[in-house]
Amino acid sequence: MRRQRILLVLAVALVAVAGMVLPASAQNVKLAIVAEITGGGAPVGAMWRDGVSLAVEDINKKGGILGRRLETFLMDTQSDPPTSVAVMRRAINEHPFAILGTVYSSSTVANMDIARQAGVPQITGSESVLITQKGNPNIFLTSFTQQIGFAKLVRWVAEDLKAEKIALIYVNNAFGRGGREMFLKFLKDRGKSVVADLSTEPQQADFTAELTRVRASGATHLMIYSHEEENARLMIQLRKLGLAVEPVGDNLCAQTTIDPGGEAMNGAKCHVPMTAASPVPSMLDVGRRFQEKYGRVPDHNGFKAYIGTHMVKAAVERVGAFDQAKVRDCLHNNLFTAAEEPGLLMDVYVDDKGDTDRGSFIVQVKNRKSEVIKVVGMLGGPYTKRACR
Amino acid sequence: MTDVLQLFVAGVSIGAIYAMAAIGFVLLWQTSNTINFAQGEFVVLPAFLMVLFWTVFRLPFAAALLATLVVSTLLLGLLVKAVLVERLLKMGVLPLVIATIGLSMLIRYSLQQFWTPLALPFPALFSRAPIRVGEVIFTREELMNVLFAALVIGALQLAIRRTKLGWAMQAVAQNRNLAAVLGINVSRLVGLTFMLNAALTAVAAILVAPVYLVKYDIGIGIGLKAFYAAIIGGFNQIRGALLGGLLVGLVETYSAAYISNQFRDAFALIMLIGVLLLKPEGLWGIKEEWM
Amino acid sequence: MRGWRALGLLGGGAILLLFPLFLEQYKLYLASLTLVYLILAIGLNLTLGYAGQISLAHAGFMSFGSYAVAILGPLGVPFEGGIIVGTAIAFLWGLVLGFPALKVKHHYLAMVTLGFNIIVFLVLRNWESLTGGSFGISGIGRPHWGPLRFLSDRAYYYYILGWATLVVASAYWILHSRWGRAFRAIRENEMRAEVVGVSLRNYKLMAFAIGSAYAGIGGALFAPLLTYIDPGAFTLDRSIQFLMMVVMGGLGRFEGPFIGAVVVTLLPELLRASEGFYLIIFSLAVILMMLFMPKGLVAAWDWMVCRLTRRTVSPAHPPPPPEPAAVLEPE
Repeated sequence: MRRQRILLVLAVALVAVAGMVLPASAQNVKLAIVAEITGGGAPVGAMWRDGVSLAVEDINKKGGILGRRLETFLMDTQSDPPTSVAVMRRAINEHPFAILGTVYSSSTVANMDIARQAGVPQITGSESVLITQKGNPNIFLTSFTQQIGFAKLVRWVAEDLKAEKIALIYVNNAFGRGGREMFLKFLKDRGKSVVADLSTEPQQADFTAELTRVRASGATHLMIYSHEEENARLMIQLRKLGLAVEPVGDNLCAQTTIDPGGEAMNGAKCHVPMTAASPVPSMLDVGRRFQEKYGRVPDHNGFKAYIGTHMVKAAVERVGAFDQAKVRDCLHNNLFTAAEEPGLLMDVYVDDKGDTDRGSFIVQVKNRKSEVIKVVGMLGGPYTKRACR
Repeated sequence: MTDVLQLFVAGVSIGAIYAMAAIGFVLLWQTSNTINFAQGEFVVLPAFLMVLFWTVFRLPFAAALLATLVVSTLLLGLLVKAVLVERLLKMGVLPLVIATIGLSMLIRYSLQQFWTPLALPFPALFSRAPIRVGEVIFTREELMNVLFAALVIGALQLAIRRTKLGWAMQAVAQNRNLAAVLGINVSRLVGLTFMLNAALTAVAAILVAPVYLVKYDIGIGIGLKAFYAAIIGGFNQIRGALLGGLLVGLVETYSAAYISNQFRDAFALIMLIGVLLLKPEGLWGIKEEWM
Repeated sequence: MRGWRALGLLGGGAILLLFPLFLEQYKLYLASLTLVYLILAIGLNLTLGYAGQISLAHAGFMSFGSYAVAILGPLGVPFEGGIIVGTAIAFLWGLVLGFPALKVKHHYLAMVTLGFNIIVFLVLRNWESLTGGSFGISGIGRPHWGPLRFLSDRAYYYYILGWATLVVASAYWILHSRWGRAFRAIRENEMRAEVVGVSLRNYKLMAFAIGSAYAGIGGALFAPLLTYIDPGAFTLDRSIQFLMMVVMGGLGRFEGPFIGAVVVTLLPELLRASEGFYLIIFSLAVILMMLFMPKGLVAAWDWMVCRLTRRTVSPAHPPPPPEPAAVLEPE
């Protein structure tokens, strides 16, 4: 009796640790999408997944990369860092050429060492400075970090809007605090500071406490940096209280904020890395096709994923071979232009840390749509192209 | 002073929403010893139903409201009672707690997967045009939230005191075995309570939706706050839910404005732990023998 | 019989020791994570399964261990020093939180612990100078004993295995000592337990504190496995995950945490093809299990054991007697 029980234990243990390895197909090039498909990051992960899928479809339609077709497989991190580490290892096992993801910074920080150890280039949707500070030569951002984004944003707020009294409301997590630190730092570089510095909770419903403090501070401009629906709630309450401040932000003007925020969103101005309302025709086209295919307007994460996939393509083609080490080298300190690879949508420069510099837009919300009011050039430069062969 | 009053308006208005969700907790606990960890999702699902009937199917408002009420009463009331509670009630508190946690995840992630992970707009039911009293600004929406919560809770409290059904509920809450001996159909009563709860959360949903917007995961926050409200006010009295809800709303708002933004979520919790330790029946509850 | 039992232990030990030599990185990580979860689940099983006290603060207790090793490591404190400090903090807070456990019934205790977990999260997030705030702490080091370093994933697996063995053995010892009997007596019937002379106060406090201390150990081992922690890893959600783990495994049964930890880590793998439906399937499974197998998967285990033994062993050997139900008594 005990014997059987013991055998059972052994059998279960064997099954638990044994597994199978899928044979890799030699012809196609595999890309791993590692993203937040379930859990709290699902809205973000869905955009990311669809952006990559659309890019892969476009690339394959035009004959793939160096004549080889792309195929993707999806790994769900459940928006949980430990799980993201697990699925990253799982993804590596399937020998992808590159990894696209993750978007949550806390996940990316936890899993990026694994991709580095395996030597598989990783293109992330995260924007936290934490990621580029680690000196990981294997990680590449598709959009600039908060460091570059906020440098451009603060330049616009200070020089174009001539804001003197600025209040800041941010969401108190890694995303919001990262933005806050950069915002304060670049203001300080210009000898300025904020008149109110207020944190909010994720999923907060009522912002009256923060808004009364903004009112008391005498601010003329309010920088809002939270998640989409919190931004929307905040704007609704801001309009209700009739605060005489000009709201500015980054993701504040994303369509995913405008839709729930409705009329209250009108008048908000933002500095955004990408927008479906862009004057860049190829970006407009991608936005339109994305919407046709997936039934929603892509936000910056959708564009980031689309562009990120094309960054892999551009680098491989410049190298002339599917060589991960060379592609990694090629992606550092190098300029890639939209003329050379239209799928990049805009010229992009990748620096030695994997951070990117790219043009961006100032938009204003009018009639529940964001309209571009100014195109902003790259922060640094001029940059030069480098051969990689 | 203006700010103090303005914050009072905000705290009371958000507290009224917590109170609406908290009543159901109290009712379910009283008749069926169920701690409903899915209470937040019980508010979210009707909000989505309302969006479905009103803005997708384009039914007139009253019809959409009625349809939402009916469907959520059937789904979250009858069905949950018949499938989950009927069977698990006999087994004590814990299996039901786990099952409601499972149910909350099921509702949340199904909405996310089959509908949308994004926030949906919800039209304001009452005017948001500012009404000024001195320097203080409030809207009809806020006023109606508070009035509604007070009205519903008052009516329920009265009903429980004055009707036969209310007497039966009280009897079951005090001693279910004895109530059964006295000829009260406990199972039917539990079913009725679940339906009543579902109807209440549906009404709460309509108040909540324009403020919170409709998103699959807002239930987590609402559920927690309703919990705090129910415990602080008193888990065994409906009026406790009102007091608790308003207190949680006010403490949250004032502490964020005057003490610390970063710890805004902690103050209500500290109050909760304090109440549990010093007056476990709640501030406005009644001491029970089992405590 | 004894021989077989020894052989089984040896065999199981051999599998746990030898298999990792052949495992690829990814499965090695899953195996390590399972062992960490096992330690945490054993702790919660002690508190909830044996002593009948719901704790929704397990992730909070876990964070004490994680942050202790993450903060003390760079200060030159040996890794085991970090584990001891973290475990001690968890134990002490367990005692503090155990006090309400004396006073209030289990559903109220659920609330107190829930509140505690949220407050711990807020403190971790806001005490930036100590914990790094929302940015967390990265580059968490792994232990080394002089020249012997547990840096590689494989070496670290063995390190975790060592601690897991220690925890399993100590839990086994506790449960088969006077303590274990007292815990069970409390769960079955508090009043009777007191009548027969079990000092309720001490044992309830201890059950809570020891369970929390195990969470501290698990947390300390968890941090270097990921090499990065942030407050988001210790939310109420994770406490609920542990609760599910223990309940799915089987409350108040020694095998329970083993089954729970394996199932919760491997289930996502089995359901990987379902893509976005994983959490839906998981929550359905939880509900169905409560309905049809409220004693946890350990019931299925017993059934299998029973079937196997009946088929091959002469009917002279009856199946093992059922152990007491793990479900809490209704009020």
